[in-house]
Amino acid sequence: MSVSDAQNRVSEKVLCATDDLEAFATELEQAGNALPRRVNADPEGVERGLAKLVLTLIELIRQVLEHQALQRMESGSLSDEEIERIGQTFLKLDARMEELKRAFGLEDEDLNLNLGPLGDLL
Amino acid sequence: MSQLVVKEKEVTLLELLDRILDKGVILLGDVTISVADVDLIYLGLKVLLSSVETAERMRRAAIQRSMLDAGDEK
Amino acid sequence: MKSDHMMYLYAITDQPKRVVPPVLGLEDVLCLSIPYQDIAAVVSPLTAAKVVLTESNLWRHEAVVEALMADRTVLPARFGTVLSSEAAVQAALMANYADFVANLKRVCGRVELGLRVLWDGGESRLVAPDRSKCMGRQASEMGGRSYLLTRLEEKRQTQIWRQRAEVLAADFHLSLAHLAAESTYQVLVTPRMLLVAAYLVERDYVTTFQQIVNTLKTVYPTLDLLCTGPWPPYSFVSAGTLTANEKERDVRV
Repeated sequence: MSVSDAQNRVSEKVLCATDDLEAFATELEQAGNALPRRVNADPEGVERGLAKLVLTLIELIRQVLEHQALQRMESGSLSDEEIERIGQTFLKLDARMEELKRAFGLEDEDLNLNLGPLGDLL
Repeated sequence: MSQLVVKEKEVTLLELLDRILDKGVILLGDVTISVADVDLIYLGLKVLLSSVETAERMRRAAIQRSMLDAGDEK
Repeated sequence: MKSDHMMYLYAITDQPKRVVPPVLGLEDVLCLSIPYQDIAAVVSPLTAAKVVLTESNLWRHEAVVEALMADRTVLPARFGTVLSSEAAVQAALMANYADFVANLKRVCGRVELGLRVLWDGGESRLVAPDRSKCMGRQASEMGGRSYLLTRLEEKRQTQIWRQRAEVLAADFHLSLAHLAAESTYQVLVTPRMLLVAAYLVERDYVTTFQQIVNTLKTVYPTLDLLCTGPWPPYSFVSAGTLTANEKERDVRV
């Protein structure tokens, strides 16, 4: 039985849709995470896979720290000098991360930073 | 084959995958899935597997297969 | 002997005496029903050592489940569920009997309808942290303080955006949830995906559901929506557990 035969046995599934199905396909790919993640055993891919993992973690930590810094700034518990210094640090971290992302050919989307319920904490 | 029909089949498959691989009755210690080198999941799906290289190989195979099938598809 | 083969599971069903429809399962073999009291497991024997994840097998699995769904209640199994033997299937049915019966009762006569809604974020939403604006400049040029102020403003905008999304999604969902016995609901799975929801709906209500979705389409012309189904109730069946004599199997990729 070919793929299309088997597929045709299953009845039509789209009940209602607006025109931009392509957008759905893209979004579904991004949101999908069906199988458990495993580290790639292939040597070429390992580096990139690890870089992705490390950068994702750094980005996560960066967001947490930034959130805290902004809270303290808002509540007025940081001096002007501290604000300036902390801001500069974040700028430098940003620049460094961009370099690393470029070096490994990774985009923001690759870091897949969809925090789900954790996102509400930020 | 019109573009809209292709997209419908693609989203239907993606919807199916979301359900059939991730949900449904689960019995502990029951999952035995492995991936063939040659058989593909679907053109365009890249998130399904964490193995970057396997996914890329599948993608290439998928593109080749779709070019061969292009004549047969209605 | 058939009972020595590994068994690929498609679904748990009610009406164990009902004949299994002649739909071919994986490896092109007919399925069989293994009964236990007033439930059954529909399986097909596997000869290969593994189940291959291919588009063809996925559709095949789905075709079997849907053929069953036509004339009985099903609890669809996740793809790739393999049990070591017929005896193991029996044991699983026994161990999870109460669980399966309860779930069959919940989904009896009902199907799953899925809904996804995309939005463009609305005018007030800033693009997710566009730090590239800062990247082009020297750190000293930007100033640490102004960087943080920019980030603060972005965070506030994101908050407003997020709240707007929650309201919109809730509004959408409420128009449909009353038709369903149960529903699941998630907001902002991705920045563009406003709402992802699944509804467990009586078969008779599917047409009404479709009509309401069509109405929502016109009420919210700027939203993109995708409604699919009817599906077997994948999203509404809880996990069962197996007793200790079934070993953990590897997921090999």
